[in-house]
Amino acid sequence: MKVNDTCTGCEACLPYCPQGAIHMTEEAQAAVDRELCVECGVCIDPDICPVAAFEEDQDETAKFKRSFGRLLSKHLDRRDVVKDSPYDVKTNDVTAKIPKNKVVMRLELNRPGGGLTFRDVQQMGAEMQQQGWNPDISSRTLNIDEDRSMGHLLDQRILTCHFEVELDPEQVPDIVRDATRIVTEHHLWVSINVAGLAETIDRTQNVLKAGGVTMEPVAKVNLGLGRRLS
Amino acid sequence: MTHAVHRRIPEIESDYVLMMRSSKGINRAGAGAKLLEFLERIEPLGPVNFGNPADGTLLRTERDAIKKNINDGSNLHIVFKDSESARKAVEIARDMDTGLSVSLTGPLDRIRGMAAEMGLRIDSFQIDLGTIGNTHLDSATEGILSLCGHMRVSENLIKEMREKVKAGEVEPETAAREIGKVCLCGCFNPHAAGKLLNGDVK
Repeated sequence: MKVNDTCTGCEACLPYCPQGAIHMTEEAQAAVDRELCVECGVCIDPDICPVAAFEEDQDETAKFKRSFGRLLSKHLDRRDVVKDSPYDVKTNDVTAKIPKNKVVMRLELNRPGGGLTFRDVQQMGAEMQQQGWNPDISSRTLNIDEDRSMGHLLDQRILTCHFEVELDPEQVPDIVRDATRIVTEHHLWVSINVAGLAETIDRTQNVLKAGGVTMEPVAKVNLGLGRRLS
Repeated sequence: MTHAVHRRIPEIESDYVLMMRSSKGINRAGAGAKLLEFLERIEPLGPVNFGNPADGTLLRTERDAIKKNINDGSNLHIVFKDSESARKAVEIARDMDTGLSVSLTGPLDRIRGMAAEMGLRIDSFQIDLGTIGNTHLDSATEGILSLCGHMRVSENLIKEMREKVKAGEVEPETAAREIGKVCLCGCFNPHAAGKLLNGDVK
């Protein structure tokens, strides 16, 4: 993001930046620290800046960051997106994408809060792979492995990213154990969830209990009311 | 991303997120009118927030403007502050039989109980396995941040609002609504956030 010359120096924007990337210059103008900025776009919200002084950068780095920083499709140029997650509990009653007898685990990196480099993502992905898991770096991300020319962007700070892994419910405790070790070693954090079809709820919960895996009491539940309409 | 599952608030019974939506090529035609009718029928239950990124949310858009914007492609997100309101909303959704997908986020055991009681056959679930690693956040800040799954809420803004609440300059729920203004999808729960902010003055 960048600030144009309409900035009045009112400082209203300062507390709203989720990454603390906005500061005031000696000339009393707002400015964006491009290293800290993750292109989340909060500052372009008309409710934040009364004079619309924030603008999107159009360079390669900004576009790269935006593919991880804009979690709302409304705010993302779809051309930047290579892959979307195929799994969505919210509409699974009509799309039936979640596989039978399996669960889909998501590891959402540095959530809540955000802020890590794509190198962190790659390292964690590689170490997960070494442990025998095959995480898919998914949902609104550029597939950097398929485009080596983007390697110079590896140390750019991004908001977040997530891995998805399709598993047997019985494998969940093992992957949680491995992920815990890896994120701890790299000083990262990760929010984890596991999705599955209704018939696997009890099986999954029993496995988690037996494996000593933390299970928060909250879940998203598709109530099965959707259907194909002619 | 999983936007409404990782809610880190102590009073989980004060936070239910209902989502109703159509899917392209499956049940989209005519969905807008159904979504609007459902919204108007659940409004007396007192949702603390509703909306979506395209049509606006209760914390940043006039109620009637959101309704006017609703169309076949809208994803309706509605937040309730108690299980009874959420249960009644699900009952209304069941009785309307729109054919649209409906999901509810909240305590799993409670939702399974509701579904069984209403004769609903759950399709799928997503369980929160918590956060591992050190987030470097205190519990109230983490709780409020977690109410915006799109990660648009700022830690600095929470800090500023907590200080204002503590100094008696602003009411907790007003501060919560200011924080929730940046949430574009309508899933931010200002009631739950207000309670967390209020923790400083108790």
